[in-house]
Amino acid sequence: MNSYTVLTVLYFIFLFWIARLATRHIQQLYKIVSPAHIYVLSLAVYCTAWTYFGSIGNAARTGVGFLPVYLGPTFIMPLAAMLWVRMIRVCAQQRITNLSDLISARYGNSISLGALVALCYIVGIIPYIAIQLKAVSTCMVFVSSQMEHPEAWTTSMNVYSTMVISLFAMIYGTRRTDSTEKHTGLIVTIAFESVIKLIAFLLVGIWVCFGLFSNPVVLFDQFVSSVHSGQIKAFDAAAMEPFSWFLAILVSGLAFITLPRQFQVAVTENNDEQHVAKSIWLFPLYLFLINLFVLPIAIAGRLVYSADTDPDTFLLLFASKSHWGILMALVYLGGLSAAIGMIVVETIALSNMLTNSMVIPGWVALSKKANRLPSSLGKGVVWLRRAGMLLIIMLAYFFEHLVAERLTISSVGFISFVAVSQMAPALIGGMLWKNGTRAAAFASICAGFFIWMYTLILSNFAGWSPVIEQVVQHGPWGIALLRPTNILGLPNLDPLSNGIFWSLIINVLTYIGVSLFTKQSAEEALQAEAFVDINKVAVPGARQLERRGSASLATLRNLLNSFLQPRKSDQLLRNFAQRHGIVLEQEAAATDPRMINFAERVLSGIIGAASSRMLISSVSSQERIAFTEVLDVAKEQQQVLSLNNKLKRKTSELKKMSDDLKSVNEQLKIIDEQKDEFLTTVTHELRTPLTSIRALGEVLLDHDDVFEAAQRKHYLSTIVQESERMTRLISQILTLERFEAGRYKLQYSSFELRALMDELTESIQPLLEEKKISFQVFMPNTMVVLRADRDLLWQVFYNLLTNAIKYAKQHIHLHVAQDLQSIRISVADDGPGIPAEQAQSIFDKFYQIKNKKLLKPEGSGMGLAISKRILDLHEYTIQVEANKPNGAIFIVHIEQ
Amino acid sequence: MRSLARFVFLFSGLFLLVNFPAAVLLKNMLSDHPGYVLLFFLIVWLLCIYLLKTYSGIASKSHLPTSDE
Repeated sequence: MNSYTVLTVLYFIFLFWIARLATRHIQQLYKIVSPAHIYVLSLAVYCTAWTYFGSIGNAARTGVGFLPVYLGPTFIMPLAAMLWVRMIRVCAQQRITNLSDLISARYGNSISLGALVALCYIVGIIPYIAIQLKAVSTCMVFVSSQMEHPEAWTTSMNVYSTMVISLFAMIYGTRRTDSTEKHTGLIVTIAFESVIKLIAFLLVGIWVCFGLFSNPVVLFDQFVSSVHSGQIKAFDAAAMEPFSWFLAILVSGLAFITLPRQFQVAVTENNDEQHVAKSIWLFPLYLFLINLFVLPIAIAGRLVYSADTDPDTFLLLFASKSHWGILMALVYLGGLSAAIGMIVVETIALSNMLTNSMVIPGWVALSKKANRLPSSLGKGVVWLRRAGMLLIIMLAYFFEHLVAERLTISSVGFISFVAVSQMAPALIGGMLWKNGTRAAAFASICAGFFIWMYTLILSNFAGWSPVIEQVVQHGPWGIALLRPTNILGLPNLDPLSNGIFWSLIINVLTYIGVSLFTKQSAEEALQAEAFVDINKVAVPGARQLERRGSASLATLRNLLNSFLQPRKSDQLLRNFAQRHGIVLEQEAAATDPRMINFAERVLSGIIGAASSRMLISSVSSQERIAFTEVLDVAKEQQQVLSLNNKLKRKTSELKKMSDDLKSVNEQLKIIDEQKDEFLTTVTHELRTPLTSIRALGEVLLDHDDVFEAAQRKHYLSTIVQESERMTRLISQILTLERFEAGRYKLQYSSFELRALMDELTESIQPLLEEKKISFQVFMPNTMVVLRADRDLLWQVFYNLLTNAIKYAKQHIHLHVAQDLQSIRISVADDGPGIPAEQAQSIFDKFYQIKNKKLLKPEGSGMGLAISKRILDLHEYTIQVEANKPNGAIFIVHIEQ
Repeated sequence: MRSLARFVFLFSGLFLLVNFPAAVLLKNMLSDHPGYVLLFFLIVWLLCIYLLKTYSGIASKSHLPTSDE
């Protein structure tokens, strides 16, 4: 065995190990990687071998022709996310696990519609799976061709790998009877594969751009000069014809919503709706990264390799050329991952459709025809699904051997995209429009699919028969306007765009047209209501319309026992009855209708909605629901909804009013507290000098004869000082009150700032000398003229300077700076400074008094508060900052 | 609601830009300036991702409770 055989085997073992590990220890894994990121990476199952190999092949031929496949999902992401959230809710409510079930359930649990959808999907997607198998085999053949001694395994290895892929899908894709169970192991493996393929792609891209060529500019320049010199052919820009380009983006976006594998990972395996919100931008980012180097690699491939080299193999060729074994191994594993991920998830989804919409309904119908209960299937459902998977992979394998040899990856990919897009009108219309009918869905899918086959498939079989040849060349009955490759002879429409355009337009028109001219049955209307109003059905108080009928508990139990273990069936029934307060009566008596609906939902998760409906109806006597009753309930729900909305509006208005009142009340409380605090402080401040005055007065009165003249004079001067202090305080309070009440009118005048500063210097000179503090004023050379209330401004700076004198140790500096818009006046001292947390509160009234811990010189604490109010009245600002290395700076900003 | 309207407007604008005018103008530049053509699409793509990130915030805020089964 050579190294790649070992690598392949080890990689498959590793995938099994990851799936097993994730199944058993998912909570530990979520601690390392968030479930939202795993969800996003699992969505990258969209990037198949078509991305990995086919995009480069496409880019080598058309330049940027590969981009629509990835721009489509990017542009449709908001719609996709909105639909996914609705689908997740509907699927959880009705226990739906695949697209054919979903479409069938939406249109009244139609078995025929479900079977049609499943059939179309299988026909449309098997070639796509086949091409992935071809990619796996190409990958292996390439690796073998690089070896000195090729082994015989490459011819049979793809058979083995197909078997291993089938085994993986069968083990990790269908573990339990109930298909609503999440396949955690599988999803984690898909997420891991998405990381591998992205890393491999990026590494080769970086090596080509910066290793093989010195940088991307050199690479592009070399390509352009080679095209100009005729060494290599220019790109075929036909893919960029505006209409073709638009159609390719549209069909890629629609396929992104309607592909079974995307539905499987986005809806069926979803654990939390919030992950969808995360994926809205993270998934397009993944697409962006994986496509970043596609064009550079394609261009480099055309420069380095001959024209007859298959461009789909450029990635492998470059990895090999790098001579880095690890890069080659990574690219090889990335290619395997891209193909395996797609095959596994798509096979699981298709097998679910095949069994739920085709096989089981057939088996139930046969049982019903024989007028007996279906025999017990039990675990048989799981094996049925596994057989379905094997069948699908085998069909794809044979298709690959018979037809796919002649086709390129991207051509098959696009043809499959167009096929699955035919479900879009019935699916998207069904989720958003209540009037879409079963007949319309049936007709539109048939019409779209017929046009798809006529325009895109028929021409591939032209060589098979002269009649087909004749139709392809000249149109049916020789009518050229009906030629499959160019219907109605529309100009500038290549065969693929022709197929996309006509199949989709006819599909959409049929869906709308037939819906307008046909009527829904009561069951359809009921389901339409449940799907479209999925966000509204839980309106409290609204009457819910459910199917009614009667069946005994024993019958329901027997029915469930056909698919579940008796213990599990009993447990489910009892839990439901307990939750809804239903008393389980005698086994033979007719049970509550809600139990019948519940049993139907349980069965839906196992055998699909349509089969479940058929089974339930076969064991219960159903009461027909009149269409008028559906309308009545819908009307009633609308009324309740409207009333509910009105009540919500009223509640919200009342809440707003209540919040406003609360806020006003809070403000009043604060004002009241401030008032109390203010009164307490003022009373205290007035009582202190009053106590002193009274004590000294009493002493003088009682012992006038005892004191000498000098001492009496000292006492009297203290009484005068304390009285002055009281007067000053009362005056300051009154001033502040006038400012705050807005009763003070500013007396504006223009004056020169230097003159004001000179006056101030003179006023504070005695205080400066007393404390031996030096004072310096720095003024600009130009004249600084202000228009303000001069006396009040004098008061402000006097307060600031006297405040600085109280705290300064040696120096006080006053700086005046002016520019075109403002004047900045700062008073800096070298005192103890002000802690940053008190920088705002120092402008509060009685700040000094309220902060008893403060080491402060004497003062009322009103000066700064008054200064602040004066500056506020002028619309000037004041702030305090720390002065380095110590002290404080008060800065006044005056806007001019 | 205004954020959503702004998102829809800008996103639709980018969609149109990527489609018709871009395809008309850029297809003629493709073989002479493939680097610029690619760069244009990559920039528009990144803008789309940025807008989608904004939208994902709006979508999360409008998250509705799941209906009661």
